[in-house]
Amino acid sequence: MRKVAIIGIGALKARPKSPELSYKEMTYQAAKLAYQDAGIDPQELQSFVTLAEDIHEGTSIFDEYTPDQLGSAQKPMHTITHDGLVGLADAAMQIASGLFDLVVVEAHSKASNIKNKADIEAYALDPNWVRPLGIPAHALAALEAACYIKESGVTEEALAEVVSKNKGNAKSNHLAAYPKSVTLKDFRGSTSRCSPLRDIETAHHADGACVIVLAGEERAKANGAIPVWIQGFGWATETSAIDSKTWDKAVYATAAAKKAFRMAGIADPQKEISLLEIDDTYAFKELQHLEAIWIFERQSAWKKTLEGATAIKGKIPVNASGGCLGMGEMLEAKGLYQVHELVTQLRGKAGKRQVENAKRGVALAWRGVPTSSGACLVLGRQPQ
Amino acid sequence: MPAAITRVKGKIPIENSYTSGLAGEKTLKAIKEHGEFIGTSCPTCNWTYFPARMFCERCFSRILENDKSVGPEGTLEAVSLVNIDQSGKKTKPYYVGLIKLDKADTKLLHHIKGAKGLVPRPGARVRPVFNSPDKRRGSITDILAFELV
Ligand SMILES: [Zn+2]
Repeated sequence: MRKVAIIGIGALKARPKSPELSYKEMTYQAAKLAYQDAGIDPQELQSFVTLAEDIHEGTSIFDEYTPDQLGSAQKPMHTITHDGLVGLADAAMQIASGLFDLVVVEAHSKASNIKNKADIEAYALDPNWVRPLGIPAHALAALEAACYIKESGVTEEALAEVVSKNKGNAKSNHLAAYPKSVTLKDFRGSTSRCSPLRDIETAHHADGACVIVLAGEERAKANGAIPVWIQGFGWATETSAIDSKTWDKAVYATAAAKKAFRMAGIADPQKEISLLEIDDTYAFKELQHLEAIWIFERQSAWKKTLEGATAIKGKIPVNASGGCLGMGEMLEAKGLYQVHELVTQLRGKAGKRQVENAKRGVALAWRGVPTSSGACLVLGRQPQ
Repeated sequence: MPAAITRVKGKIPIENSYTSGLAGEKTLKAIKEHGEFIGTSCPTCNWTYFPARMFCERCFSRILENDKSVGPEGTLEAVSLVNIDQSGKKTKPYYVGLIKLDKADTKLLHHIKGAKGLVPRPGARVRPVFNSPDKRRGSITDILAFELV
C-alpha cells in the first residue's frame, strides 16, 4: 500500500454564530488556508470528499451543493454522512490504492442556522420504539452517563476536571469557541436538563469549517510543507439499536481503535502515543473513550485525570485543543478539527499549548447520540 | 443605515410512516391484544431480543419464529430525571429509565413512575402500566410507563 501524508490544513475559528458568511463561503475560506498551507495550486487537486448530513444542512441531497467551494468543479467528488475522520480514511484509501495523488477532505458546521436542534436530534431516534415516547435525545446521553458512572466509579471532581482542563486548554487555542476557567464550584452549580448530566459538561455547538489536503508519498516528499503521515485508521458501529447496544462501554471506539492501532503497528498504546484528541461531547465520554482504547485501565481514567496525566504537561495529553467542550461541537467537522490540532502539534507549531516531543497523535471521533459509531485515526511524524 | 441582509428563513413539513415489520407487528400485537411482551430469541447466541426481531444481529440467523415471552417485570439499570420535552423546552420533571425485562437480554427505554415518596433507582424492580385495552393502538406508548413494584 502506498504511504499517505497530510500536507495542508485549514480551519476557521469556531464561533457560536457566523451570521455574515454562508457555509459555502466558510468552506471556501478554509480551503484557501489549506491550499496555501500545502503550497499547492487548486488546479492540481484530483478528488474531493465532503462530510455532511442533509438534515443539519437544511437541504435534501446536500451532495448536490458541494464541489464549487473546494475548487473541484468537474472533478471526482462525493459526500459521506459521517464524521470527518471517516472522510479522511476514505481519502487516504483513494491515494493508497493508487487512484489519486492529491485528495481533499472537507467538513463544516453551520449549527447556528438550525432552529430546532432538539427536534432534529429527536428525529434520529428510532421511530417505532423510542421517538413515540416523547423523550429527548439528550436523555439518552444522560442514561449513558449514568451507566458509565456506575461502571467506572467516576467522581464529580474528575468530571469537573475534564471540563476545567479542556475549556482551560481552549484559552491558548485561537480556533476555540468556548475557552473558560471552570472551577469545581461552577461545575456543582451548573443546571441539569437530564440528570446526571450537568449542562456545563455538555459541549455546545459552534460554526466553522475545516479542510485537509492529503498526498501520496512521492508528492508529499516533493512538497515544501512538512508532511504528517497517516499511520492507521479504523471505524466501527456497534449496532443501530439502543436496546442491544452496550451502555457503559464505548465498544465502537475499541473496535475502531483496534483496526487503526494494528495498521499503525502500535503494540502498547500507553507507551507509543504522544497525545490524543478524543471526543468529549460530554465530559464522561473522554474518560470512557480513553478506557475503550487502552490508554488507561478500566475504572482508572478518572483517577489518572485527577493526577494530571491528561494535562498538556502530563504523561499523555488529551484534548490540548480544548476538545469539543472548549472548541465547540462541530457536527460532521468534529474529527477534522481534531486532525487540525494533531497536525499542528506534530509540526511543533502549537505555541503555548505545544505538547513536548510530540511524535504520534491519535484522534477518536464519536458520531453522537443516539449512535454507537466512531472512528479512529493515527498520525505520526514518520510514515510508521 | 439600512439593516444588513444576512439570511432567509425556510421550513418544510416532514411526514413519514414507519413500517412495523413482521417482528415489530408481533410485539405490538401482543401488547395491544394481551398486554404481554413477546420477543424473539436466538438459540445460537443464547440471546433474547425485545422488541422482537426477524434476525439476530450477532450471528445473522433468522429468529422470527422463535418467540419468547419476557417480563412483564424487570429491573431498572439506569435512571435520568428529565426537565425538558423532546423539543428541548422546559417541562415538569419526569423520570426515564433503562429496563432489563426478566428473560430478555436487551434493554428497554421507557418512562418510570415513582411511587409515593420513592425515587426510582438502579436495581429497583419495576412493572408495566398499560393503557386500558380499548385505548391501545399498537404502539410502544400502549405501555404508559413502568412503576416501582
Ligand atoms: Zn444469534
